[in-house]
Amino acid sequence: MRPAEELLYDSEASFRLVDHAIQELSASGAELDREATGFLAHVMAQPGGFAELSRTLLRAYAETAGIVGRFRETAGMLDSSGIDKLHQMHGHLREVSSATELATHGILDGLTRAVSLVEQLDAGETMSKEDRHRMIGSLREELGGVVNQLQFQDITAQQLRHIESQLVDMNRRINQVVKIFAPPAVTFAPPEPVPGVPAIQPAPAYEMNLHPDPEAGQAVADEIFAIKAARKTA
Amino acid sequence: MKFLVVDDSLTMRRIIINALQRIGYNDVVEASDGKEALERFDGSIGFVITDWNMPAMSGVEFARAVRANSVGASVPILMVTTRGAREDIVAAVEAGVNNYILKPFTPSVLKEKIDRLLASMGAAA
Repeated sequence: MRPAEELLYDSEASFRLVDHAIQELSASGAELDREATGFLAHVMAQPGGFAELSRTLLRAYAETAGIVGRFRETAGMLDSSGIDKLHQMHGHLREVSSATELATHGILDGLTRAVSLVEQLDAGETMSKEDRHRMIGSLREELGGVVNQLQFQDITAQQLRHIESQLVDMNRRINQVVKIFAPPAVTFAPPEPVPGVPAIQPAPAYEMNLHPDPEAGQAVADEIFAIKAARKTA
Repeated sequence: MKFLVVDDSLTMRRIIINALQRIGYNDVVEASDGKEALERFDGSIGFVITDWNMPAMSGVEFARAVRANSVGASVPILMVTTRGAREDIVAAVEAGVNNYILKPFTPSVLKEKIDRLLASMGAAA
């Protein structure tokens, strides 16, 4: 075993080398805290220098651990689920856009056919009663179809509500991060309430029916429902 | 027969009521969420058509509440919703919903479901 004096000498020599390296770094323009460097030299000159240095290092370790903890906390707030939510929102907006466009085309097509039927009825003075009756039936069907296409409004509203609640959640997360790093005066205020519009409530995510063929989608739902209902009554 | 139509979307309520009137059902009561629907639900209601996603009380919660009420134990409940996932359909069955329509729907699908439910309820009675 090496004598204590020898260990002490080696350790002091090591710390002097560290101190020298720090001073060199400082001199070369690195942004090093000169007070800390001075403090290091000061403790080394004291009789109880090692004990003080040990306490200082422990304090530094605790502070570093605290900073790392805050970084982890921040990472937790901006974790992959937040990024996933952004992707989901993007997907929902595309769905909304697509559903709106599809419904608009449906409405335009229905109205075009309805106008054509009206023109035929208008021009067909010699039309038989049966033909007239049939055409009025078709016109009624077309107008009913146009009304039916307006369901897109509800589907769009539900998707937008979900996206809105996700944005509010992201605002909350960003505020938490800002509280950690930024001065207290800096905050991202939540959205201002709009008079007459209900406050934003958390809207859970769910799988929407976006089957390209509504009849096929309904058939799948019917099948699932029938199986489950049969099991329930059994 | 009196229908109770529950949906937070005024557009959807109008579309459903419009379809019901075309089928021949003119006696309709409206509610904008499950809570309001429960307040309006009494022995005179013969058929319920409800959405799932609504503020205050969802359609599934409303269905459970209706089934827990002795007056609503046998009233047909038809869910009309955009939720198309298997687990959602299963949850609706568990809550006591009698049939399920996906939005967007056509009036013919609505008629078919109502006819079938009324026929099965009549057979069960």
